[in-house]
Amino acid sequence: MDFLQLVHEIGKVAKPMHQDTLEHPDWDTPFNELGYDSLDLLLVGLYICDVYVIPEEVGKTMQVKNCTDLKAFVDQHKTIEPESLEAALAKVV
Amino acid sequence: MYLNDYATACTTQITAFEDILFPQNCHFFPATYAKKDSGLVYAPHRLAEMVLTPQKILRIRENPKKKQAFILAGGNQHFAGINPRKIKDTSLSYVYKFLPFTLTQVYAGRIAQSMGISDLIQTDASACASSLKVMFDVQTLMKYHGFDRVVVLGVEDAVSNSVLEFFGEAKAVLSLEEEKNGVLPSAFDSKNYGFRVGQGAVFAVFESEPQKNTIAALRHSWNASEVSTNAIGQNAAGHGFAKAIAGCVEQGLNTEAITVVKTHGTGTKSNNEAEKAALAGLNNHFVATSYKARIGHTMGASGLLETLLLLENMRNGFVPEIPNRTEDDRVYLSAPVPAPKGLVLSLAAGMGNIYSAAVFEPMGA
Repeated sequence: MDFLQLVHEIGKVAKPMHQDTLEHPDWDTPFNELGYDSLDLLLVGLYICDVYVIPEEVGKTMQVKNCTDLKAFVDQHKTIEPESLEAALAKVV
Repeated sequence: MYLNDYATACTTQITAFEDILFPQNCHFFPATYAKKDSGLVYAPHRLAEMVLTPQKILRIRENPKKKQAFILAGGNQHFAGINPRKIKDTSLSYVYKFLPFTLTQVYAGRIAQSMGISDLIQTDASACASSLKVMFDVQTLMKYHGFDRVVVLGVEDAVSNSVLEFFGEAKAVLSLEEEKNGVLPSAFDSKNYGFRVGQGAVFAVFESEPQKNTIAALRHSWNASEVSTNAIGQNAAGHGFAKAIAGCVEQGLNTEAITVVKTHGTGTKSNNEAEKAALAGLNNHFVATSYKARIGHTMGASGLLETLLLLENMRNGFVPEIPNRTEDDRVYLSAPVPAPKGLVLSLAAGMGNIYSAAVFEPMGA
């Protein structure tokens, strides 16, 4: 599954009014340079935890700067692996 | 103060909620509750997104004005979809994981950020008067403080366990049983009465210069309260409504110029009496309508939402009747009439003793 695309699509859900200006993430660019503030990341984190079935209390410990950090967090704590991008997005969209 | 862009969301469709504590019909968008059990969905946000389209937001962001404000009129925003007493779980029950983000200043800040608005961001919690009550803020900011754009979003968590339980318990809404016995929502009628709760949202952009598509100009606005022994009651003499109208008169309104009244029109006995008493001396040629029997009571969104629906109807040449009237009435309309020229007076009232009046001049063909 294209993790960067997943993050981008979740970003659009977390920031519905910025959908047209949200930059597509890459692995290294910090989230705040892509148009995400702390509240946005909180929401993205909640959605990601929902997709990967990560307990909420664990999700609240998430501190990530970019998608590399986010992927590492997910890989460490996930309890499922979605079958596809569509299946993952179906949980949150 | 020109109304240059707007969007509305409401529905005439009704859904029966039979599993709730006080079964009733509501005007409801099922999509607003989709995936609620994830805890990541808040129904009013979905309602807001129906009127805050990316195109509308882009238009504001790419055409900034010198001084701009955003106002979130969130009605009874503290209801927040929560079932505080948890008497029983219903199809509307859910827990939203991110409470600080419901219809709060935080949410208002995020919307304003998306539009590039940063001169002033504020919220309003004036119950069912909210979106009309803030017309006073629009007027104050634009007339006295040099703001050249004020954006208003009116939305509330009207169809939620808390609201339906509160209004059901207070017998303020039509019950499913009353409707099965043949009662229909209406206003100013001797047989039909009351209202259903409805979901609704309204978005409006007021600017200091008119444009080709300007729908109306805001001419006057005032808010008032009345002597009351009950914070959620209404004075039968309509003092609250009358004082709100009087405030507009003090600003220079000539009541003879009003030809159409958009009433608060909940159809309750107390509001029928109060509103009619307040309008008795207005003039002898106005007509009045109400939208609540058509789209439900959308609570905080209702005042401005219904005003915009009326302005749209008048642009199409008519003033609609109050639905489900059982007697002929040429003032509190039982049948639609051609839209007259003249000013529109819009009224709203909110629990907690708040009454709002705003006067609009329709513009454009």
